[in-house]
Amino acid sequence: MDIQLKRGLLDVCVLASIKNEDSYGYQIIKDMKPYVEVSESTLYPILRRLEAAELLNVKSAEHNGRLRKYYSITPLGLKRIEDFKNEWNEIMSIYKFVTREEKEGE
Amino acid sequence: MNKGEFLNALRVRLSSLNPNDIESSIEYYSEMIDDRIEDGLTEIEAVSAVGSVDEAAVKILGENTQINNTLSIPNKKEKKKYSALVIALLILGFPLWFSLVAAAFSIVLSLYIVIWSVVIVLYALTIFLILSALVLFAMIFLSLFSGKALSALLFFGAALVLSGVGILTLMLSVFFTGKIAKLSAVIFKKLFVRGNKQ
Repeated sequence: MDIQLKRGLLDVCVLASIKNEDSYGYQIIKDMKPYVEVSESTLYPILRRLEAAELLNVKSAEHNGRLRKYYSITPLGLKRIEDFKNEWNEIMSIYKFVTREEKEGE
Repeated sequence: MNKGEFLNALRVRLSSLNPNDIESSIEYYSEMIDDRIEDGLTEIEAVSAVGSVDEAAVKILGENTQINNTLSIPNKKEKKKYSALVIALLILGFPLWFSLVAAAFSIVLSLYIVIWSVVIVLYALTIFLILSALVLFAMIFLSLFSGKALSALLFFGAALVLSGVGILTLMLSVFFTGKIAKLSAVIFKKLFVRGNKQ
């Protein structure tokens, strides 16, 4: 898949995985696994990017005697998901346009 | 590879980043490995499931270069190369520039010493004149005791002249000392300020 497109999609996937409740890195990967496989090394830059853009917040909490980072979505992050849904309609109509000629050609 | 080895290797690959970014990355991978161990994997299995150190480092470094201004990175490298070149030239040119600097420094120093020696001569002259005047005053009494009034008068006149000239040279010495001290202070101040600016 196109790298730029995938990057944008993965951002929204990560936001969707923490939309209903706060989550942590490994849990996010496990939640996304049935839909899209993401490695630890791919997830880390996404989390950093989303944090820098204030789409999610990070806080450390103790778990089994060590610190674990929990990610929670911000209002900006929720808006990003809504924007994506709206954009998706646009993308679907572009998809229809792109595949229209193929169907006519058949 | 165990967890410690993985994190150490990662730390080495990330050494070009700032300490906060390195710590944050290490914490992330440490947490990921711990979570997998908690999920039932052994430490070795957990480390290999997280992926290779190279992949992790490339992703982290790649993201950092994207976040940072792309223009600032080549500039930084250029600056480093430039200063390395300057240092190399300074070291290679040491025999040349050091002797030139040493020569210039010794010329300035000798001029400075010459100026001071003039003042020292003036002081020496003053001491000589005043000592001579004192001897002449003593001679006045000697002459008076031995009854040579005219000689005493002569010594008295000579003593007065020498003391007068002595006081004059003393005033000159003090005057020049003050002037040179002020000049030295100004020169040293300028040198010091320049050194600070560089």
